[in-house]
Amino acid sequence: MDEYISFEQIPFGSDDFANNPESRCPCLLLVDTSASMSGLPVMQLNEGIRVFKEELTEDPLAVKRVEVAMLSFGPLQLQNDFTTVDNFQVPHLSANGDTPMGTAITMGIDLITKRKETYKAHGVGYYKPWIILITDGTPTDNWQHATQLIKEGEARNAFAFFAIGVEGANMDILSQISVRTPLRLKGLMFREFFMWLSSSMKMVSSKSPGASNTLPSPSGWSEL
Amino acid sequence: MMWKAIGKSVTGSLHVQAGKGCEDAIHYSIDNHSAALICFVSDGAGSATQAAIASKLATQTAHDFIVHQLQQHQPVTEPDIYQLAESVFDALQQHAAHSKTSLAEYACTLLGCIIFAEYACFIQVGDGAIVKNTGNDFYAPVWWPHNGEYQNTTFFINENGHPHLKVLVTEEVINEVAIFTDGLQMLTLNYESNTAHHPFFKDMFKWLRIAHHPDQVGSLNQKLEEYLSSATINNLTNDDKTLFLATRLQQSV
Repeated sequence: MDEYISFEQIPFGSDDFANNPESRCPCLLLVDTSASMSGLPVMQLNEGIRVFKEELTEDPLAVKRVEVAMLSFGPLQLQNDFTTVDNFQVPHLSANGDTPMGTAITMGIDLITKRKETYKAHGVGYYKPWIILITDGTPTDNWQHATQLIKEGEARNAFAFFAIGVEGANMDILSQISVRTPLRLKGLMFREFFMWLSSSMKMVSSKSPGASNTLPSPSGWSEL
Repeated sequence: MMWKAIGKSVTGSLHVQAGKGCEDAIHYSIDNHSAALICFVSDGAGSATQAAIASKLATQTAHDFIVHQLQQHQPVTEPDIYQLAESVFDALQQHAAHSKTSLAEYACTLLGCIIFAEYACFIQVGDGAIVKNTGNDFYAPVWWPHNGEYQNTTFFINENGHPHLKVLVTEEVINEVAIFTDGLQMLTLNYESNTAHHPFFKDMFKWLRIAHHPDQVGSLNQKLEEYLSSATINNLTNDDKTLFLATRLQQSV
């Protein structure tokens, strides 16, 4: 993978675990930035991600616990590796290329696995990771392997995988990929979606043991 | 040989913000006749509506069970500890039935010790830990708090059949013990080496050891409460927290 490192953005200094022993709540965003997302969709997506960071930053606990990573796939690119919300750089996504969804999912699961190892090595606890896939199309690469990995991961309780289909998404393939029923975004309600995601993350990350998993309803942004 | 003990449960800053009271509970005493140290600590689950009632009821029931046992001048055996867990479960179930509430709303952990001169009994369900002085000023958790993989999962005493109950009856002579709930795990345990964080215990026990008058123990207990409510601690954890410390009164031979 062609990785470009921007030196303005590296969080140089002692690693974050030394001064933040809080348990981490990893959230991985897999966002489709293929050519079909051009124009308004990608603009709304950028705005949604900005709101997501803003909402989480305002929560004193979430800001220490929620870690966000983002992979975009038109050309596959790691926009952000896992970092706590305060260090999360809101990228400026632009749309081009095809839809290598399978590769993105496979790489994403790998990122999650590695991140868990890092948590263990630093002796910090962690919550069940969430993977959020947002797409408006059909995979243009092999997605069967990714499907297998999701099934296995969900069965092992290794992560929770959510698929969100934007107008034009192949919901049939999404429901084959995702163990959970994929949800369809109403129009371009990225902002509302990311508000929901941030409140869900706040809830998950503030949980003490035994807390039940009643998440806010997605009805504000999804078509039933 | 008697015991000097201090212990407090303090509401976490998150619960203060949410207008919730303390959902941790502690109940301890020293049995006059056998000089046994008895302590039970419980952490009510954040999600359970009856968490505060559950943790109080669990510690009270467990404590009374042992006191009753000691009044019969019976030694405490491993089956007794299992019996104790049963009676705590029954008490929670009864309360749930009486209040027409689901037993699931009474989720709480339970940690406890009963320490005699020649032997000691320990019980644990869920997270938090019991740390003992191993006799050479080395502190070790009786059990490592095992939560399963994720931070927000643990086990509770209100689970039928107690699949996760840990019980130990040992002839080891225990002269110093600490019990705490998961709110303090980050300060008291070293997750990289799976050991107790020694400086924490050394600093605390140092003062308890030199206190030789009930008044001094009383003011240490007051200081313990202040410490648990302090900004130092609240910056590290916003959860409720309970800490119990006990050291045997060493009589000069």
